[in-house]
Amino acid sequence: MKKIEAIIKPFKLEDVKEAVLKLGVSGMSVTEIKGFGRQKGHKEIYRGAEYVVDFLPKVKVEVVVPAELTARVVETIKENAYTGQIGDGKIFVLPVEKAIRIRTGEEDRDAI
Amino acid sequence: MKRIETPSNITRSPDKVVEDFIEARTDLVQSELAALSGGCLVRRYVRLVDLFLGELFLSLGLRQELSSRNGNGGMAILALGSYGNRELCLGSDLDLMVLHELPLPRKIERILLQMLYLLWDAKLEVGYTIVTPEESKRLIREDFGTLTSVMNSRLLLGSRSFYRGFMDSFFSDLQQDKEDLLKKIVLARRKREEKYGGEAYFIEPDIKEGPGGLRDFDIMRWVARACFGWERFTDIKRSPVFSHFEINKLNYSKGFLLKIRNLLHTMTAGKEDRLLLSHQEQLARLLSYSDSPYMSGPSRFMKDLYLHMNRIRYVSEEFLTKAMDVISPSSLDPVPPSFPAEFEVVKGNVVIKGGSPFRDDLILILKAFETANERDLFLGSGFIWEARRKITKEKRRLVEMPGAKEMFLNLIFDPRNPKIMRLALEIGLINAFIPEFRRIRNLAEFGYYHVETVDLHSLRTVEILYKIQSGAFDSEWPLLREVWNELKHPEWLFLAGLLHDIGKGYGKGHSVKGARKITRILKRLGLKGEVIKTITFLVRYHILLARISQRRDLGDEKTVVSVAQMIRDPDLLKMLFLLTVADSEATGPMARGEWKRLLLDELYFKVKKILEGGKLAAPDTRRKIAKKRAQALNLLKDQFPVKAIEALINQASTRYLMEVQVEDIVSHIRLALTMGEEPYAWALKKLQGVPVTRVIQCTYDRPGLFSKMVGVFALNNIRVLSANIFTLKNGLAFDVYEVTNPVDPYREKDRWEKVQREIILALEDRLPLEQLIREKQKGLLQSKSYIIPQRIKVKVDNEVSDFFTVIEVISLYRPGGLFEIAKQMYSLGLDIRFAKVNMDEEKMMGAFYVRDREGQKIYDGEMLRELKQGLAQGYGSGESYPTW
Repeated sequence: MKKIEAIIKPFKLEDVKEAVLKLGVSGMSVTEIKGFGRQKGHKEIYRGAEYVVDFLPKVKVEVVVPAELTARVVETIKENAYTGQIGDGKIFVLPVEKAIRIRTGEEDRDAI
Repeated sequence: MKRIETPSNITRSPDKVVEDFIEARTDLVQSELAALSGGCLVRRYVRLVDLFLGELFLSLGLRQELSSRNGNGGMAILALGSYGNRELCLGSDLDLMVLHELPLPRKIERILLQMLYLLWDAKLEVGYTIVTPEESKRLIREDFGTLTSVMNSRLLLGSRSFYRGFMDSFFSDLQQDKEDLLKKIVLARRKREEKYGGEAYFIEPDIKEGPGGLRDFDIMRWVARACFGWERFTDIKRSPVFSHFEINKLNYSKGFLLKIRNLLHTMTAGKEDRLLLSHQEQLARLLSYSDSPYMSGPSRFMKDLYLHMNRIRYVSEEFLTKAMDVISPSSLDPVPPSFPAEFEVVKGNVVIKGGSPFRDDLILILKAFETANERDLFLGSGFIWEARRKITKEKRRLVEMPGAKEMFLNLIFDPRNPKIMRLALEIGLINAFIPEFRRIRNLAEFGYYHVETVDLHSLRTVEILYKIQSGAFDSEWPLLREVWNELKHPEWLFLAGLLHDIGKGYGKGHSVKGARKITRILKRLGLKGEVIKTITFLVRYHILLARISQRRDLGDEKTVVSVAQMIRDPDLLKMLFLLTVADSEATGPMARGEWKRLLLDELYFKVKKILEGGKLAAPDTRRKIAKKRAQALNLLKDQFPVKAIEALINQASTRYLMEVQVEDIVSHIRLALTMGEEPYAWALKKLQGVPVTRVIQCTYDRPGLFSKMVGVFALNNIRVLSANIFTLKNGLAFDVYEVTNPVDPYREKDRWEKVQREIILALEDRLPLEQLIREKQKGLLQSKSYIIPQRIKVKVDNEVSDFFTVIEVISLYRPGGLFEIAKQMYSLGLDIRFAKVNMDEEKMMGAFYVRDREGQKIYDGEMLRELKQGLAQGYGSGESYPTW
């Protein structure tokens, strides 16, 4: 199992969601986040201290998928979150050791 | 609180019901999935789910609750969508609607919730809504998906009269404005087509939503139900308008798709509806499609699939057109000036005057095509149907009618209306006149390179040729129309475009096999003389220019001269050039691209120059070199002492002076005279109009230089397209690499700086290249679903160049692959002097001009065998792709 975390532009969320669900991924978590990457915000000096004033709003999508689906989900997110502009976001793939559904106690594949 | 009473002495516990259902489903899947027809399996499965739900209702006490509610407002549980329709596939969503008139009692709510859990536990994907009739009407108005899924609904539990009342009012609302509904349906269909009809979906179609998928069948059923009130689809036969529809064939095609869909759901343990290449390969095996001499198993499987999807697609299109005609009959369009007397026009479609069927005058078919083609019209659906039937039954007679062949050829020679050409293919007109076409009909070439089946690719090639003629490429590639306008018989090109891949129906070596068929085909069509010779030649050599331009050193005069000797005639060259362009544009994104265009242009101009110069020999090299030397000297003499410049030029080989452009020679000399103690210096030149940078570099030659260079480029996601390597007598290397630009245009400068740093480290053996490349390969995510197992191919050509052996290597693409090949060659003592590399996501094709350590061509068979073995070992074998 892999966990795929994608940081994307908020307005791409619908496209990404729809496309990923079509692949048979049955659930996802979405968080509104703020942050910056290479694009940075701009820095400001305020009373001698340096502040990053411009954290940019992004959405983080998290899905856990069986390993063999990883490449397709990544590819699908890439396709659907793409604008070609700076700040399209990033995708991380992480190994998942265990998954448990609390209600039933099912594990791993059965639990995702 | 009162316990929910479950009469456990009669019924099983809910958990047991779930358990039994899972077992029964597993049983069905294991024993019957591959054996049963699609329709049959789906019916069995729906029955299983029906029984399961029935028992659940009983064991949860829901049935009892509902029946005791008489007089407390209606309540009903509905099956929607494909389940409502009894066409539920194994991985499809189970859509339910709970319809209630009055607020739901707590108890029922609780039971429903419990039921939901149990359905999940049974591994069903459940979609459910709990609504009042008013709420549901609002949903239906606002959401087309809800509307269509309610249309397919049926009652599972609850009050029949309440359900009837609801549905009656639903349908009477729909009937209010049938035209509007039909428009919505057509619009939804078009949207689907836009999304699922694109290039990417052609090779890997979505069998539910794609054009010709199961959804098209649903659409017909919706229209039949909502617009005409027919409860069962077969009822359409009662209407004279639809009486000719071949429901049995259609049902068979639907059954085929249903079967595939269920297999796909089982294989992917989900609701995957897209038939990826990997699935195609598995399914072909599962359904016993074996390889035939002409076609692979997966190709045969896909040929069937396309047949069924095409059938559903075209029948549903015809059905919608007809339905529209019935619902809003429209008057005739005004007859265009000088329109043939036999026809009239309805909504942009050519029909027979007075709506009467044509009897024996088969020529009318061709005449209608001609008329529609000339005036940018289409044909009426009734006419199409009748023409199709006539062509199937009487193709011999049609072909032999006086004037028929000429009319057919006129259509091909003036293919201005792609829809009409496609129709000619669909209804069998092209097959009737060119029976050989049958072999390439729906023939898919397994892989990502060819976007369409061979028949459609041939039509697309014709379409692109027509676009060239009509100026559609004028802004991006003006040369094309200039060349076109010089042709003596441009119309022949259309015929060549249609036939260029005809040999693909006859197995390997398609251009040779295709060329052999041309005489017969064209004579049958009544053509003779020069046209046969020309088209045979074009078909025979239609891949020549692409191949040479992408795999040979165009700087080598001998290459160009030998192409010129083969073609001989400028007019043939022009035709071949345009056919090559159209063919690659029509093949797909992997075949086109600015770089390939540039190479093709270069070859075209070089061959043309020789052919027009009238002598098939290389021009005088000595004069050419002297001229270049003088030019270079002239450009540099203000900055550097003439003696120093001349000293360097004198070190260079004839090949260098012949092949490298003056401005690059100037750059090399400038680098050499200014680099001082530096180990490496380069100049970067961005090429115009292509995403390519020319790296002109100067360093001291050392063993393995080429492999180090390509290794560093690979690490930085830069692809080497060509490399030209020259060593001066004093040991300096003057090289010219052409590589793709860094992928991130925002950070190009940073990337180039990093590349340069790493090159220097690599030259000094301070960069663990092999390890870095291995790490890069390990993390590779293979995005394509399937990689065609391809044996590594090594071809050796000692003829093409006077000084080098050309080794062509074709292998799977993977990052760093070129580095591995270069390393392998280096370890065998091969000295690479020129390389041209061509990669796409599927394969890597490299042509390497090599010599041995003594500077001789390679005639040593043993060494070549070793090379092949070494490459296969490190490369082509199993572990090349890590799968996740």
